Amino acid sequence: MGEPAVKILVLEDEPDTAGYLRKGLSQAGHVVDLCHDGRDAFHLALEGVYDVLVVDRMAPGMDGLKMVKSLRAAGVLTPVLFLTALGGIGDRVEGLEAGGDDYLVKPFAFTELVARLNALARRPPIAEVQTVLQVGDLQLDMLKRTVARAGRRIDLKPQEFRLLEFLMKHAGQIVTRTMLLENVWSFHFDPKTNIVESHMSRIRAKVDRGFGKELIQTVRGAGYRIDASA
Amino acid sequence: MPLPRITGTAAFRLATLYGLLFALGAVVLVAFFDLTVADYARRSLRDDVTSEIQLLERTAPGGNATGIAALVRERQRVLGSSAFYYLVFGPGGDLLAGDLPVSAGRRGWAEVQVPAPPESREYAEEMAEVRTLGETLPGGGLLVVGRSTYDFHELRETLVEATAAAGGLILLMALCVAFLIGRQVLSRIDRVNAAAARIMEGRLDERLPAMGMGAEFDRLAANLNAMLDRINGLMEGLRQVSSDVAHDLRTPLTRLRGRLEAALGDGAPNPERDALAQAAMAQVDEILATFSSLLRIAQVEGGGREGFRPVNLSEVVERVQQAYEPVAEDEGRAFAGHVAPDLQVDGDENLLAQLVSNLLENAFAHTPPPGAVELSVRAEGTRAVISVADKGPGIPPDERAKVTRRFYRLDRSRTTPGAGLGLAMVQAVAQLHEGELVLSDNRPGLVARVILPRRPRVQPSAPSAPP
Repeated sequence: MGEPAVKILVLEDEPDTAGYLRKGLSQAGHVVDLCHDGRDAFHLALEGVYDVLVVDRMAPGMDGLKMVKSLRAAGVLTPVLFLTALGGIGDRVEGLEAGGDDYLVKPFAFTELVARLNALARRPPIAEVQTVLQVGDLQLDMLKRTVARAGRRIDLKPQEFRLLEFLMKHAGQIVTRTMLLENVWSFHFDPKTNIVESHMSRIRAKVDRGFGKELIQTVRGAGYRIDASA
Repeated sequence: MPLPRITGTAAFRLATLYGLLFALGAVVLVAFFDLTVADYARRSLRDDVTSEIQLLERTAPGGNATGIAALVRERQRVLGSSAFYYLVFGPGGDLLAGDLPVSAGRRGWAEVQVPAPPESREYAEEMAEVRTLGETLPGGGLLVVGRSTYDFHELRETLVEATAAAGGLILLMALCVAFLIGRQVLSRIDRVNAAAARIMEGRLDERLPAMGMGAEFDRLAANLNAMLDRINGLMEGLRQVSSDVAHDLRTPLTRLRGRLEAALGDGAPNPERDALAQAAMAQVDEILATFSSLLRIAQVEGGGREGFRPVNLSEVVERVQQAYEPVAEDEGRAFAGHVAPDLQVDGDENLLAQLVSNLLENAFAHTPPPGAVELSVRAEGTRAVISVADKGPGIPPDERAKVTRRFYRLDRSRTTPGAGLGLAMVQAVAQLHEGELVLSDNRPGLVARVILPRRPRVQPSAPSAPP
């Protein structure tokens, strides 16, 4: 994908899934360390050499949830993505409250996992939060809630603005449909309707049409990406 | 604790009944005493009178009327006026001595009224009853001796009064005891009821407290708890099975999906293979989605309300409405929303969003464009009502209860996409929120209304109100 390798620690006790994760993530160009035990994972993560942690909620030795809580208590801020087979009602909130940054319910599409890991690993540090996002000649001001391309102001509806904001925050990365549903609409379920597609086509009509170069791309079978260099 | 609640308890009624029985027992006992005493009094009076006559006849000097009269006067002086009443006639019928009215001068047993003795008189003209026995004297003349029944009457009266007082007191004490027992039993039963209510709310680990009212009640509580343990065990088993099934089926399906995904990007482009892999992946995704929905419904149905927070329902509905606006526009259908502002409920925001989304998708799926769909949320008293009305074919009344079952589909909807889980999920979420899903006729079409209890507003405490 042309992106620098991400160092990932995976805590997963089930050998099948662990092997599948290692193989898939390595193929995607990442460096993967596998761990079967929560305590081991805790000590490895404590060293702070990883860009992102993938943690199964249920792991022997130390429960995944507890491990992340302990890490946060120890001041380790490495982004954490929880994996779970449960998908219960309160599980997501519980995971986020424990200090997790994202949450993925098994089964998941691999593209989904990779997209989320990229988003987590390349998240800008909190200190340098920008208020204006820029992709090519497209500008989005998060404070004034305005969008302009090539100096021309573009009017977006609130949800369209949020969608474009999320895309631009992850410029150059693939953003999946589920990630958009979760972050733009706070929908943590799977609607059968093509909500994302309908909104996306409107944004495209406003942002890309009549400006020559199309910034928003559809990545088949994966999601969307906004990129000025493509 | 309000009085009617206590007087309505079985314990109170039982104790009151016992009190009444005791009081009745006292009455019966006293009536028996009274009869016995009266009988005894009558006999003792007769014996007294008879022996007085014998005494007089035997000890009188000369044994004749004159002697007896003298003795009578002597005795009256010694004994006082109240012990015996007398009347002595000479052989010629002349009154020799005595204080009884002359009319009492006849043979055999009789009763006469005399003024009551001054010391026991309650009012001036009170009369006392005197039983008399008259006997002809040897050598002529008549002796009449009488004894007042006044004391016996007094005794009987006192006895009846004492009985009434005792009976009343017993009843009063019984009522007091009944009240106390009733209150205690009620407070213990209330604790049990409160625990049961918490269990029904979904706190399945809660158990009934021991009632502390004796072995039989504690055994009842223990048995109910054992029953709950058993039910809990069964449910746990069921959940375990579902989670095992979920795990055991979803994991290989996920791996299958992963292989298909890998095959897609493998080596040289191969349109035919890629199309097949894509189609297979779509199928797998559909199975996985159905599976997830099913598990989710089960989780919602078995879920508790621990994670509930105050939710701005208006904001949720508006968000879902805006999400579906462009969808409706793309389909070319009219889609209107009416959202009353700031309706608050206690709940799970994510589940409520899914509920509204499912209702809309159900309406969209069954109303061919350009059929209008209308979404609204408004307050109705203490409830918030989410309503989705469509112009589709509607649901026949006799099928309305069935469409909330998992996988239930009307015959004509077999061809529309979906697994038939949408309304089941809506129902489960509504019930988790202590609400209900009501389906009715939109003439034409369907109105699906979800009625939820609103979050009670926090009242600012009035300055005059007691703390």
